[in-house]
Amino acid sequence: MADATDRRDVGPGLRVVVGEAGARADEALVRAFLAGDDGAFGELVRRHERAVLSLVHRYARGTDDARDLAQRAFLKAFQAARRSRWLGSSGAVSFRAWLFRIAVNLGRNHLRDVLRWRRAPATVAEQLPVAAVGTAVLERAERERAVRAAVLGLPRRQREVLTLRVDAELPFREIAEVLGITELNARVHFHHAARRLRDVVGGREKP
Amino acid sequence: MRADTACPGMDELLAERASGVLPPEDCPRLDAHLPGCERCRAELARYEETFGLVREGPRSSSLTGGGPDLASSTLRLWNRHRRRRVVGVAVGSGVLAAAAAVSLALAPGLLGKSAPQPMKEDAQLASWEPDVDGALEASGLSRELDQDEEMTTVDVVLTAFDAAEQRY
Repeated sequence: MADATDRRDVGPGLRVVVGEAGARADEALVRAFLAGDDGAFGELVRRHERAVLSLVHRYARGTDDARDLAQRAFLKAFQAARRSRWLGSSGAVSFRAWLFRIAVNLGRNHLRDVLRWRRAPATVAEQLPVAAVGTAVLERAERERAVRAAVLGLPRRQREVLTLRVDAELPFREIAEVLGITELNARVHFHHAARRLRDVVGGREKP
Repeated sequence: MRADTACPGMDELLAERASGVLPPEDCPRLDAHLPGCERCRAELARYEETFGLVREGPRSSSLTGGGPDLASSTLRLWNRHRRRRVVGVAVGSGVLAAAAAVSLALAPGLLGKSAPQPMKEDAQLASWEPDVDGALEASGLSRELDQDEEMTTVDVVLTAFDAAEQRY
């Protein structure tokens, strides 16, 4: 499926073509890094950091929390590659899919831990400087808070599909690859999630 | 159907268009429908607003812009883990080597203790029986027993063990 996410900016001065060519490039970079090329490590992290950060930020309590989760996702992905769990198997998922799968799992576990310790994720309103708060900003913040809560309240699979689509901007084909489901299944989950969130925004449903 | 919902078959297309992932083959169908359908245009706007709110929060620019470079800090972490692994493997190997050396050094003694010893007085041992009465007198058990109490089998066995220990 060709869509807007096949080409995108991932950093200043860097445009990455993903898909088959991108997957091959990722694999080559991973091999180069494991052979001792630290530059390949940096390039891989820079290539995917925005998507990974956006993805894990959904589950994090703040920017530092998100960066910590992102670092752990990269480290786990490289550790897995070093142990040949990814590179060793032919026909394996792409490094990007592997990385995002790890990020989703880390985020989900982090959210579970946060809820276990009764620490609600920081709300948007809490992050706003007091001076900037006006009525419109507060209303917007309140709606964002409601939508954020609604996203976290979605059934697990719907939430994962939605965040991979909206935060990581993956096409459904890659979402299916990351989650190990069919593309049709991914689309169905996405539509359920989209309708529910639309109803929350429209005031038809409480988050 | 609610008055403010999309036309049949259009809802999925609207959501995918709003999220930026509508397949090219579906674009002409939606593009042909939207100009003549105010309801679907409104629904598309609602989806766009929804996904706009979902994307809100700290933007990725603030996530990637602030703080130290994620690639550099992650690489530092990786190298630290790698050093720990190397040190851990070296220490583990050293401990194993030391344990093996100690085992080899102690092996003759350990084997000597567990190996059967030559019998000192075979004839005497063959006729040996526990000296229960003597042992009872020597042990505190006999002193603790009242005159009326009877020795149980357990008492006898325990006493016999005491006697055996005293003999060897």
